[in-house]
Amino acid sequence: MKKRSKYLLIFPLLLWLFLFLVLPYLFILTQSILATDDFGKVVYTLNFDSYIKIFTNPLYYETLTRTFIYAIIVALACIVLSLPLAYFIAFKVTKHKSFYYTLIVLPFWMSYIVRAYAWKIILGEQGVLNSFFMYSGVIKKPLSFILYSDFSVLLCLIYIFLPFVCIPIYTSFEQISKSLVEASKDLGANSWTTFRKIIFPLILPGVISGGTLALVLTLGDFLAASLLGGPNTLFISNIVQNLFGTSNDKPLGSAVGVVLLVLVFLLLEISSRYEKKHETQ
Amino acid sequence: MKKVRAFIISFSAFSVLWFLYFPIVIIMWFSFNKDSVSSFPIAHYSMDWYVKLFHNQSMMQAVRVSFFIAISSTIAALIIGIPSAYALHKYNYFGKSLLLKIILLPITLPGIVTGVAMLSFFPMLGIPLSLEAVLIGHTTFLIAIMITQILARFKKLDPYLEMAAFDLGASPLQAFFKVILPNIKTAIIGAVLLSLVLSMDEIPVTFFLISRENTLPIEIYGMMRRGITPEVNAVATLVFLVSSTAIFMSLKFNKEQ
Amino acid sequence: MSKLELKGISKSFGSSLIVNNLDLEIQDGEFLTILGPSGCGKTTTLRMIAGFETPDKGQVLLNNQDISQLPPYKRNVNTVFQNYALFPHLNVEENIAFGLHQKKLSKSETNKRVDEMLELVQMEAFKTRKPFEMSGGQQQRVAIARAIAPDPEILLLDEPLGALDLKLRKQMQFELKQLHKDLNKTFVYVTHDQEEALTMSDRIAVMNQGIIEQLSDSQTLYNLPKTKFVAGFIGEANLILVQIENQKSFSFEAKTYEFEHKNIDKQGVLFIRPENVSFDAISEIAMKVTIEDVIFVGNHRKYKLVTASGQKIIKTEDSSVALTKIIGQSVTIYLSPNLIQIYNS
Repeated sequence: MKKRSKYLLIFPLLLWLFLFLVLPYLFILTQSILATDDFGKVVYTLNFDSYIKIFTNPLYYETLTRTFIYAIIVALACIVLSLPLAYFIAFKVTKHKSFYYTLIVLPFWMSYIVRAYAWKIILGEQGVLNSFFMYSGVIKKPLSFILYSDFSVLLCLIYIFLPFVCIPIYTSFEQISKSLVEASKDLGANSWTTFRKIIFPLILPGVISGGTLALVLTLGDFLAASLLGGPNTLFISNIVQNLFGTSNDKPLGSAVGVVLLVLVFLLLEISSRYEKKHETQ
Repeated sequence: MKKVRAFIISFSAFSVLWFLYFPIVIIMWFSFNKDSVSSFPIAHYSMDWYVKLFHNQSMMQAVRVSFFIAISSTIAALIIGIPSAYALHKYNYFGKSLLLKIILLPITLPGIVTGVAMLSFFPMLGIPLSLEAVLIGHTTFLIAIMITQILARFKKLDPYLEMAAFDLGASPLQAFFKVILPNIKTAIIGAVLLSLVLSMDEIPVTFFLISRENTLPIEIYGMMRRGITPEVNAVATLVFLVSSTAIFMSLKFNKEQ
Repeated sequence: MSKLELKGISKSFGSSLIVNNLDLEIQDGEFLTILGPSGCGKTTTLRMIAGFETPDKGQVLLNNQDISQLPPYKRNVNTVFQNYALFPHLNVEENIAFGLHQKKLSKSETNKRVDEMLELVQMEAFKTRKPFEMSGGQQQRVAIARAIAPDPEILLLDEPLGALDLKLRKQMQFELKQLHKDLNKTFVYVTHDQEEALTMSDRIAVMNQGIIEQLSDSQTLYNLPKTKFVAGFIGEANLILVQIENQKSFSFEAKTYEFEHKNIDKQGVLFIRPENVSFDAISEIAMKVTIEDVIFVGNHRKYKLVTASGQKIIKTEDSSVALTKIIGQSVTIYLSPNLIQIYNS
């Protein structure tokens, strides 16, 4: 009786995940080592050309490296912006703390597309920023380089992923006992030393997990580049998008997807190992 | 010296907060701009774009599609998620930690990979690119949200409550409906609200599974690709208002107990 | 008549044997306490009576019927949980009525019974309160009322006073005892608090490592503990190493004393309570000791004594007795043969 309900309750979930998640993932794994015929149709012959292409054709490996560097920039920028805000809310705010906390959580759940769109009207040639500067007389002619460039894409990604980084950092700030800070000062450390030697090591797990999140999210993002990027802006996920769309090379698209998956898995694994190590210390 | 430091910290904190909210304020503000160019300063204010929005057939259809997908995939995720979360809390399974990792895959891995994986495989199951495919895709990642949210509440629930119900003569089914369900109710409501919001916003998976009929974010995406239409300001303002209300409520429900 | 009998029950979790072939017979209307340190198997035993665990071996007999395989909701036994486990979404009245609804009592009967219960635990004024709106002591009373309401044959109490502060605990001990008398029901009470066990119980079963070391009334348990574990676990005890030649005598520091006992080992442990160690010549068993220290502890004073071979003995006496001894003085203590026990060491 007990045994039966134990398996009955979980069965629909297992079936669903197997059919609609595990099999699709296994399928692109397979598809990445298949070939295409002249019309772009997938044929079932074993073929590692896709992987060879990724690591020999500069279009693929250069885009991969560039995306990775951009992802690091986004992650670092998010961390730098999160630190003062999270610190302020955790340590300086005494009244209405939950209100401030809601302020950083709210954008976390807010529509991606709406937030990306905002930058389009702010950064555009006739946009808010240009017209504001012209109105106030700072510039004579609108600046055209700020929208449809790698810069605007990065700015948008930093903006969108900032809450993902800020929340874990805030949480680790919040877990620091105020008496630790007092003890440090009592033992003669000034504020800067206290931050460097006491606070920072304690929030490092939060910084790492937030940073990893921003890194992984940027690697998987194809929307910002296609909405705000210039003609030459290309992120690795845009390549996947193209290969499954207009270029129609599903094996190659799958292979790039698999490489992306492996990279993401590695990053998540390293970060979770690091966090576990810190927890036990 | 101390005052200067305190000032620098709060100044940078407020600058970052400003950075987070300034673009949203801009959208809302410019949604009342009569001109079709979003330039500063606004010469004339009007509600024109809101009126236009409600007369835009394809936009209204996209809203309906989005609601349909969000509601049906949330219901499907509830039906699968609640019993599984209960079972995962109560029983130990062989490979349970692996299963928990798999459940989370659609929210940990890049959406684009999940999207192309489903795009490639669903036809083999006889599911063509369609709203049904989108519905299955959404349900799959909403299950992850449901299970994590409800499991978190189960972990906080006093395990003796169920025992006390048994002790007083309730069968497992009665104990579930009379004692457990009322105590995880707020977590379920919170998870439902979050699921609705997430489904209404989802792009990466939807993008690859959709055929002719667009969901709202895909429709906005299309409009943005074509150029700037201040109609998007109006719809964005409405989306923002609706989703933040839902999120406020869900945060409130999650905080309870 | 409700007679509860545990026959040879065993229970293991993984590789550790928690309850080991345990026999226990509980009489109708008895207040029986299972007392022991944490991890001794007392809670597991209670959970097997309630039905939350199934014994690996043995039977749980209620009125000679084996109930060991029945789920908890089919047993006419109710539990008061350690943390009360009141349903947070239900108010006091609904909590108490929960078991009555399960029994399919009519509305008027349910209301009547709920009111009776509220009166019994003096919580009439709290009828519509939610659990989180009450103090620990109040929640405790509701938990008791809820468990008694369905009129179980046996009431199980799992360390019910553990979460209360000392003063409230004392008061609740008294009230529970009174409740037991009024209801005339069998109570099986689990605790690790010896004082609680001694003041409330008709009989106490002291458990250790899955077995019952001694089952007797409070007085016997205190004065004549059967095993070294019980002697050490309950109250303060002097445990003095002695040599054994035969079962008629023992010797200590080259002197042999006559005393009948059942031990056969070469070495034995002599037990006596500190308050039974006497300076008056009341017995043949006399030992020479030196006073190391005298400590005033409120209503009594404590002598730290040391024998020639260096063994420590504690003696307590009422502080109203005039203090005539000084530190460093040599004295003779006398041990009454009725109040000593000898165990294997």
